[in-house]
Amino acid sequence: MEIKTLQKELGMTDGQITKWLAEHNVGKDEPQATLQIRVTATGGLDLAHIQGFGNRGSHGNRPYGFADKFYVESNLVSWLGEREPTHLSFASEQKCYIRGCCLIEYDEGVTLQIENENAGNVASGYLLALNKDSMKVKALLAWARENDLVTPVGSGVKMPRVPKEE
Amino acid sequence: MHNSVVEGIDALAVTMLKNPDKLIIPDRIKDYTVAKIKLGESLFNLAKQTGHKHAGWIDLAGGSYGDIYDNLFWYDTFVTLSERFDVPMSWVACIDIYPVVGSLGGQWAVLHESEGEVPKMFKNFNIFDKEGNCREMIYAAHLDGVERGLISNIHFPFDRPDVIKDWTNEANNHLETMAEVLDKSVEEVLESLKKPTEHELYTPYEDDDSLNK
Repeated sequence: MEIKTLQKELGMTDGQITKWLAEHNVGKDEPQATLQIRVTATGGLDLAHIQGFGNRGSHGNRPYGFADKFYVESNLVSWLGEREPTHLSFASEQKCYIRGCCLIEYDEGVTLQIENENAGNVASGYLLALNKDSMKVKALLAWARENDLVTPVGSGVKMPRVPKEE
Repeated sequence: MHNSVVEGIDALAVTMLKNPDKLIIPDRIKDYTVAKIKLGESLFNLAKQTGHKHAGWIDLAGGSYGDIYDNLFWYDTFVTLSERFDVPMSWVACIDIYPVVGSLGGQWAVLHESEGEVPKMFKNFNIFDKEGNCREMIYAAHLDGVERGLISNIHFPFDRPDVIKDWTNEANNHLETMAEVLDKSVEEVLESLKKPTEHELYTPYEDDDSLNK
């Protein structure tokens, strides 16, 4: 992450960018690309708002990196709404996000795994598959790949699945 | 096939008048409208009962016709009637319609003047607004009619206000720029702006074979 470029994009002084990096918990001296998900999304039903910090490449859509809202199952919205926010928005000073979001690539597709101490659809948090036909998902992945946020697991490893509820 | 949008909308209005059974408001719409009417009556009653002590409820109780028959009611109306009469929604939206709703049922009424057996429509079918400009919904109806092959003459015969033309031209330029930057067609960009019908992030269940496609 190039701090000077980020500083310019955010229009901040040296002092302001140092403070901003510390407050947003992305690493003070060597900021790391990061994903976070909003606990309560606004603007419609069944939406999850994902923000990404990282300004490498050309697929970002925000000065700090990437942001978009995704249409999701209502169980995820309920689970997110019960979480205590731990991190600030990259677009404001509002604490409304949680971290622990990892994009993992399998032969069958990419998952978003939200690691959390509270069980969602899996004991370790929430496991989601990304709809590969969605243009917004494609945009997220293009940006995430540029910022080394998609981890390949290697050929032959099966995507984890969630047992169907009875 | 009609010669022009005006001819097409007029014909639709006449068809509506001849088919009152298709103008019955479905229970789903009637029920939420009646519920809002009853809430309005309850609020108005509260304001009347407390007005001699305080004016706390006066502003809220000053509701209007538009609070009951709001934009979403009209959108629901246009969706329902366009499906029943198999025409674009914009065609229905050009016709002067008013709802009559009661606890037992509801009906959309079409404003018209009768002339003998054939209803005469032109009086209440306003092409121009008070400033003399063509109503934008007429232009929308023209474009929708051409797209669905309902109108033979693709030339739009009226002038639109410059300020509205500038606004839509700017939106069109922005859309074309987006398409160029994203290396997509305009149709693909518009599709991406829609709320999708399938979840973009979803639980990968054990028996879900969609991931293997």
